[in-house]
Amino acid sequence: MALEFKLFSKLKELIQRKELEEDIVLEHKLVDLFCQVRKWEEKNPVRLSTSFDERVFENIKNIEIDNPNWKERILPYFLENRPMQYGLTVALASVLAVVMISRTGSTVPQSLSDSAGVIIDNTSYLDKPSSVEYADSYHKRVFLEQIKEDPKGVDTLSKLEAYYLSTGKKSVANEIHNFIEEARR
Amino acid sequence: MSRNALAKKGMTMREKEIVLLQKIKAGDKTAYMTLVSPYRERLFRKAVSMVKDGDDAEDIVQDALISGYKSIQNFRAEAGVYTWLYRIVVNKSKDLLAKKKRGREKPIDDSQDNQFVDERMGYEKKLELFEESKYLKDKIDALEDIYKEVIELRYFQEMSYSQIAEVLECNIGTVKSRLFKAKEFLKHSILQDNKGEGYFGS
Repeated sequence: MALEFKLFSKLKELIQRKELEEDIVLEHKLVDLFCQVRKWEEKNPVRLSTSFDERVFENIKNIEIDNPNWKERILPYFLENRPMQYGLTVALASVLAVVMISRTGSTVPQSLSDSAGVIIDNTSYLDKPSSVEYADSYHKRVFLEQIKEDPKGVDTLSKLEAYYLSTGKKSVANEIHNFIEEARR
Repeated sequence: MSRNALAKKGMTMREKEIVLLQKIKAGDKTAYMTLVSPYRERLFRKAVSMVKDGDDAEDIVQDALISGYKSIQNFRAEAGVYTWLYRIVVNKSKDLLAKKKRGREKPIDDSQDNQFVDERMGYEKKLELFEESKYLKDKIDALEDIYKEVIELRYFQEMSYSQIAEVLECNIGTVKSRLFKAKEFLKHSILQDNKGEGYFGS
């Protein structure tokens, strides 16, 4: 096996060396050929007609240089400027990576806020937290008495508490629960 | 300012071209003639080799120089004046050949490469090469145009890879790949003739 491998490597080496030699010889012959062609051309110069320069000059005397518009000036710069293209690609990729990381790595809890909705105060929007608590003790007392008088009042409040619990608004549900407790006393 | 005057200032060819380009863009038309004058004959020869007619070739070079002047604002100094004009001449020659082919104005005999006869030259111009070089030239002529072209640009016009890419309107990788394939085809073709040992062994 080792002998086989040795023979194979030797053969490969020989073939590669032969190919390399062929490449060098061909390179040399190509250079030599075109050197002969150039020498031949030098010995046999071609001549443009004597009035050629005058004709060209007369023609260009009457024409103006085309001024490229902004697209022609800017487009080649963008299309052929590889470093700028790579730079832009890297910048865009970085922005994309930052956005992806900030979105996936965000630790903001996904909880529903307790809010009564949006209140428009003049031109600004206020996100007021909802509450059923009465600041005024008189109104609270009247409300509790009304609930006590009506047996369905506590049932309604219980349903309301269950609703707020199901929607995740626990603080509002707690406040209603406290009302129910007070009404039952 | 003539080329000699610029040469006296000890400038490189590229620096001279940049100075002349600035003058041309400022409206100096004689500077354009100074810029293109070293390349006229080479361009003419290229055009003749393509269209096989001295008058047509001269018209092509004239048109190319006029087009070049008009669009000088688009010329980028790093491309090299000759490369830029060469591309215009080749494109114009191809256009004329296509027009002729469509109109069947004049059949083109490709086997007459480098054997054009023009009264301005005074004698028959037949490319004289050593036997071995003639054999290689025939092999190159038998290659597909895209490989023939890249061999000519590299070894005859002595252009860099980037200049060839500019002329062929492709990237440098394509140029390298075409050149490699062209040489592989040549080697293969020579070996097929059973000339391998003698040719590559000499």
